[in-house]
Amino acid sequence: MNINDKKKRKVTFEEIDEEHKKAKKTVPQDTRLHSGKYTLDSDEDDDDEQANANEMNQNELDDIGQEGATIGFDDDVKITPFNIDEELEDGHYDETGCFHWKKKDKEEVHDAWLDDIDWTNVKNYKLKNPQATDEGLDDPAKDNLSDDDKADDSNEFNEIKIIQSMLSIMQPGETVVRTIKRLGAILSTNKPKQQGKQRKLLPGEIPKSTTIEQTPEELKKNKLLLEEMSGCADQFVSNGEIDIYQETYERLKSKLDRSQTSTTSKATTDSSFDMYGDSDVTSSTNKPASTNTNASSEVLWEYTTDENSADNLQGPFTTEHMIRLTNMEGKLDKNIVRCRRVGTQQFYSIKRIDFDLYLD
Amino acid sequence: MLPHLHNGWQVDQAILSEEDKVVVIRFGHDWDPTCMKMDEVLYKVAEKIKNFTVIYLVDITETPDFNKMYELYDPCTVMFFYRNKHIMIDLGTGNNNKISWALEDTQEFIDIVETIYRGARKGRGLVISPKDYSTKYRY
Repeated sequence: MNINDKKKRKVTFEEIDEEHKKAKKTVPQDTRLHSGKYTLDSDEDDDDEQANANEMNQNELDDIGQEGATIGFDDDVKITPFNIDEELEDGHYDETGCFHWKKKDKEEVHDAWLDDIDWTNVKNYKLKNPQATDEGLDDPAKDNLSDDDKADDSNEFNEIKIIQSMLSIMQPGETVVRTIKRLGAILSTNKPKQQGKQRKLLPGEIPKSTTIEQTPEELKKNKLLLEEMSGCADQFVSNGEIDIYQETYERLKSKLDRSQTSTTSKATTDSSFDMYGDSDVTSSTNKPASTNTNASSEVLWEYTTDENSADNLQGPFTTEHMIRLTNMEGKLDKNIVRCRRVGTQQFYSIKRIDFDLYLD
Repeated sequence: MLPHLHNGWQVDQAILSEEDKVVVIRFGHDWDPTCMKMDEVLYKVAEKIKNFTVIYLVDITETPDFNKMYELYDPCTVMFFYRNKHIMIDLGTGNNNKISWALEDTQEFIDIVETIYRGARKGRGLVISPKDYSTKYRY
């Protein structure tokens, strides 16, 4: 994205680019990065950055031929005077005649929820529960969920447990997002509000039978399932696995199997090394990690400097390894080295391969 | 046979209703020799990449709605979309919006689509095609 931005700017947006540079010099705080927008055609963005540019002075404004306020009403017709007094209350014109909105006062932004927090309660809670971390404070309800939850350290991301509960909700062949949609759809079709809104049937039209009749208890259960499902997915997301919504039932299941076998193997190695005490932690933690990488269908790479001879072939390497190699200056000559995925035929120049895409 | 889309509405719907696949659209004419070559490649790969791709053909005379917006002036244009977003691809040609020639190698096309799929799923709006086409097709 970044590369392209630069490139594209160079090709077609030379002038804008220079304006940006100027703006950056004068207003270092308000760069593109800080504003968080990076679309090429965002007009607002430019406005923001040039907010400090010179204002059009009053004389120039007068030259345009403004008039003062005349009569307010001609009978029922409102007369708007030919001037920009009202507009000037909301912003100003710069020397090129562009209008700039006044920046909103930061104090104007209120967060009702934030204002509502009773900080003395928060402090008391902290005093009562000295072991509670900041994370726990965010969601005190989580801690009183259930005893067994507490037992296995609710703060820690327990992948196996979460996947298990997700699988119990999902149906085979579904992705996480589809499950959430399914649960959400059932809820919304059963909402009494929406049923009232439903349009009248046209003559001869058959009433749709999509609404699934459900008892209130079932609905309640459904809602709980939906909340649990989205909660689980959210835990994955906050743990850095943003692709979780696209995962299918089957993939989650194999993931679960994998992590279960790796933990059991960890347990067995742990117990076998028990007599040595905890000095052998490294060997027991290394093992499950290696089985994990072998089991998953990970992408492996091989590279060569001469694709016509098979002797030169280096590899196979994992994607992480390739990223390290390419990042190391002078390790691989980007103009010569060509690589391919293990199992494919064609070599591609490594400068055109974005290895990040192959990380899961 | 690859599915054809016959009007602008169908094209729109095809692009925006697909939730988790790359939508590949070939704009052109079935009778055009360049398109014939491209279609042959598309037809060959369709089965292999059907898990993450859908391919449609659009006749730009029957459906001229997009000709201006997408600058469809070439005999054969292939564009990529993911979740109602046009995905750009750096082919080395200078035009990142589309493939405006007939690819000949099926594996090359599969690699391009896979790169697009992986990139789009990671939120990229632009991906780099594994092969640089600048030497062969320059604007």
